[in-house]
Amino acid sequence: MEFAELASLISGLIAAALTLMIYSLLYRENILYRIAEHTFVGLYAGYGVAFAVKNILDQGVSRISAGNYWFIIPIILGIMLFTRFTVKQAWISRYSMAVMVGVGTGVSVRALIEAQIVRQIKASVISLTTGPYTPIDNLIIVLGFISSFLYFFFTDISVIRKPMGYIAKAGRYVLMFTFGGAFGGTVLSRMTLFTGRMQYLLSYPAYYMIPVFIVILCIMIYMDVKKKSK
Amino acid sequence: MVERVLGLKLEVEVENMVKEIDPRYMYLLLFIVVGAPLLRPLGLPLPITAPVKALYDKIESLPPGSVVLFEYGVGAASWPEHGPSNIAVLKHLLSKNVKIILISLYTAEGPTNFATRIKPAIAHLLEKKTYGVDYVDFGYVTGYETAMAAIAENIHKALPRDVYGTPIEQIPLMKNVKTAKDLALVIATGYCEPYIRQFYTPYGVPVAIMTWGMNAPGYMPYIAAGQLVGMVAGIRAAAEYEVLIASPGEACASSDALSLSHLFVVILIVIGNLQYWLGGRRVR
Repeated sequence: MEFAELASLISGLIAAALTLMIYSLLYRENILYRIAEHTFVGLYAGYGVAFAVKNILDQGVSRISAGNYWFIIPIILGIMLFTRFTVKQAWISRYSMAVMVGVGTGVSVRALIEAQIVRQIKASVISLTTGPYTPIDNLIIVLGFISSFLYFFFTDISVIRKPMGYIAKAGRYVLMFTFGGAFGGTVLSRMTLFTGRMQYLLSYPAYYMIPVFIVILCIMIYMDVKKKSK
Repeated sequence: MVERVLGLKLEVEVENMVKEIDPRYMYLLLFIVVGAPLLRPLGLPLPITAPVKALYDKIESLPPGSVVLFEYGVGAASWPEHGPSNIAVLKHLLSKNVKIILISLYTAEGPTNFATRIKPAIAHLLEKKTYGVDYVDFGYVTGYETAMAAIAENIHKALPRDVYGTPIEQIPLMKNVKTAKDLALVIATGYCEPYIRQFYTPYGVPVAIMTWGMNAPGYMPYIAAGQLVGMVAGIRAAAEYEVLIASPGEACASSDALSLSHLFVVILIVIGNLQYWLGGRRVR
């Protein structure tokens, strides 16, 4: 067996073992789960730090060394963020945070109104018979939009109180359908993640770990039963 | 009277039975329900949905030599959702005569997953292409939306070097690609809103998204508004894309398991509601 194959085999077995250790929580809290959890947290933190250092070198230091000295400013702002760990100088980090929030908001907001408000209203003003959807779809879009929008109309005008009540009720149903769809989508996503992991566990070389895990699980169950009977 | 007593007894029995079920049996059942079709696929039909077909058609209609920005920000945890769709769409792009700019903006895990899982799956197609001429990889670029804005405005300034450290001026593919206006399509992983804000709205560059299945209902208004040209949401849509390009892969293999797991969840929801309804009615 070549080194690459051996490395692939060992890494595959480790990945499978860690997955099964995490799934062991479904039986009960145990040391295997905690080992896997702490390994993940440590590994992810290490990976994050390594990438952060690489980013500073690639995006900052290399540009400064190439003569773009104004890149020193974001590096100084970044260093200022570390003052958060002190009590007396923590206020200094607020300036860096202010720049980050300001730039982030500015970049997002410049196209937000057009992209997420104006275009969405435009898309709701549609002909019932044209476009990518059927007339029934278009009707549902228009009525759903109006009723759910008016659900959030809080001003109480006595003349239109009764019809507004009906529309708001319809809007509530539309919102409920939407939440149902969103919940279904969330379940779908979680199931996809589980299916993906199962697919991995049933592939080579991960499936070698399944009998090992079953034996460990049986020992855990046996010990629990024994403990309970005492 | 007898019916009433019998009805009450049935309600109590159902309620007690459901309450007594240890959730761990459900986990075990779920393992069986998902595992069995993975070992022995059922071959359930898989109809193609409109957003998936729309992306396929968009790529098919790209003129030769078009430049596509492909964002492969796939995290390890979201691999089952994003991995197969990334592979399927990249396979399609590589089968066409288009230039591909690869980049990871969503997560720092992107380059690792690209190197270890995506690249081996498309290696046979990459072999036929020349790095720097047909495709280029810029790796992970930090900043997310701020980085997108910078890239869209001036690619050469925002991405001075590729992932191997080659200056952008020395990459033939990037010679005529200066701003977002030079892109024919942006295909991204994760959330679509930042791409719509930074590429579609200011520059009119078509945007397509490979996202989580749970985002599909929320992103339909963007499809309806024409802000998204296509969407591959979750593994189910990835399986559809694999069918469209006639290259069955990871997604197709798991589609039966996914369908059965959904059926299982629906049954559990019905049982849970039945318990709630019967229990609630008895209390009243």
